[in-house]
Amino acid sequence: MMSKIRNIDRRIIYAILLVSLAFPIFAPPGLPFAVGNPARNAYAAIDALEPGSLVVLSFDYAPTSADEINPQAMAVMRHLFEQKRGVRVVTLGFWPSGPIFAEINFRALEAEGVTDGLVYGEDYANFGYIAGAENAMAALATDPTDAFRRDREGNRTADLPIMQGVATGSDIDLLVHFGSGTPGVPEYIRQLVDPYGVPMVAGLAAVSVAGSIPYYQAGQVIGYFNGLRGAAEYEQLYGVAGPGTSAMDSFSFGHLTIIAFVLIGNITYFLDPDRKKRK
Amino acid sequence: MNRQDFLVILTAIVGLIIIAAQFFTVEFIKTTGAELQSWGVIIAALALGLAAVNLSRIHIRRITLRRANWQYSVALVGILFIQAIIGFIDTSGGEVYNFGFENILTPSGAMMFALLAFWIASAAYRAFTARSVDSAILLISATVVMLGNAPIGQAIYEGMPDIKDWIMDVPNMAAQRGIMIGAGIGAIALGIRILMGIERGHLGGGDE
Repeated sequence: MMSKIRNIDRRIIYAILLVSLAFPIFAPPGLPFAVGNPARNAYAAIDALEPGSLVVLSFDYAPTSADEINPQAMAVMRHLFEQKRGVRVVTLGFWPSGPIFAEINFRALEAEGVTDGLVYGEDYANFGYIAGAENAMAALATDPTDAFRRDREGNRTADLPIMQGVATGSDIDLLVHFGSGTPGVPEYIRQLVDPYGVPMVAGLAAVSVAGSIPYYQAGQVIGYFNGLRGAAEYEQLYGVAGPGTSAMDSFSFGHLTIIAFVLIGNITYFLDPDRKKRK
Repeated sequence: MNRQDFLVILTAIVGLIIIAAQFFTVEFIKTTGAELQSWGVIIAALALGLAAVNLSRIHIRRITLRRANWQYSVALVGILFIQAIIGFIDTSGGEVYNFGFENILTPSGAMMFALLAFWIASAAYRAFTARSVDSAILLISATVVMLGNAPIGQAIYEGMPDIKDWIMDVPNMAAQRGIMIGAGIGAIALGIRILMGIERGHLGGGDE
């Protein structure tokens, strides 16, 4: 009996998980959640930006992590464009697909009217992608307009009003890195944060958080967003529910189902009379 | 001086300039260091092009020889060329280019990652059992971290996020720091070996 339960068809497991993920979409229980200190610190750093500050949003992720990280990026961009008018926003990426996400997000915010009145080249700019990973990050730190000589529109970055007075990485007031791998947090810390004293906030895929916590504890990352939960926390702090918040109930029930499976798997394992024979 | 010796000396000079540029404010060294970094970016961009050529070569060969699953190679090469041509004509900011990105690459990438949840559920059910003390500790920690991360954990027990934070901030961080410091020392040792010409693997010729 026990071994029968243990060897249940995997398609049944898939179906149960699918139902548990889908059910809250149709009947969301709206479970409350507390906002952690890492997200609070990240939000505070962005909220404290003064008009004229230069913030770099670095999009370093691929489509595989987009559903997790993009809601974070969207929430930060909404905050900057809606409430932090006068802050200069530069988006760029060291992952090929990164700047495309920046553009998609911008278009979505544009459709909502959030970006009305902003001028390209003065208030924001998309510098696109350059190859070279950590070496390219080092080039950005040494001279941003030399590393990214042209933006995605083909303009010379040195001629853009947004880059006036920017000579080295130390002229960046805040770096917000959205990433899910290498190059990512450690590379930015080695090349930009520590040598040039640039404060950094990280928007991470949940799988990358464990490896980045030492940088947060050391103060090299002043705050971070933990996957989809991080996006939901930011949305809660900002007061606008978005894709992060709406996914939280599915997130909860999905986790609970997997834990239930682990429990059932363990119970059946220990109650299985054939267990000792197999040993 | 043979080819390898020349490359070792070149590597050492370039490496020392980059290191010196981090520590000294001498104008010549700083400028040269910055210039070398730009060269690195250009070489990396060329390497991307080379990778595309190499990928095409391998898969076109697979197609012509009708190797196993050659149909997948047709899809890969076809999409590679179509998207590249669209990119050249429409640019990567263009509507047509982004249509492929938003409607093919992004959903299929997200789908691959989302499927992991189902595989993990199935694998956890069958294999994630407390067979020893070590695996029991891992099992309990993983369960607490999962519950602490999801709102439902807080609904079950108010202190769940605090326990999760402790696991992440103390035992996890201690292990992560150990790994990082070890890897850092290893990277320094490897760097010194490369600069001194002891490590020649990157030159493609082994130790000879």
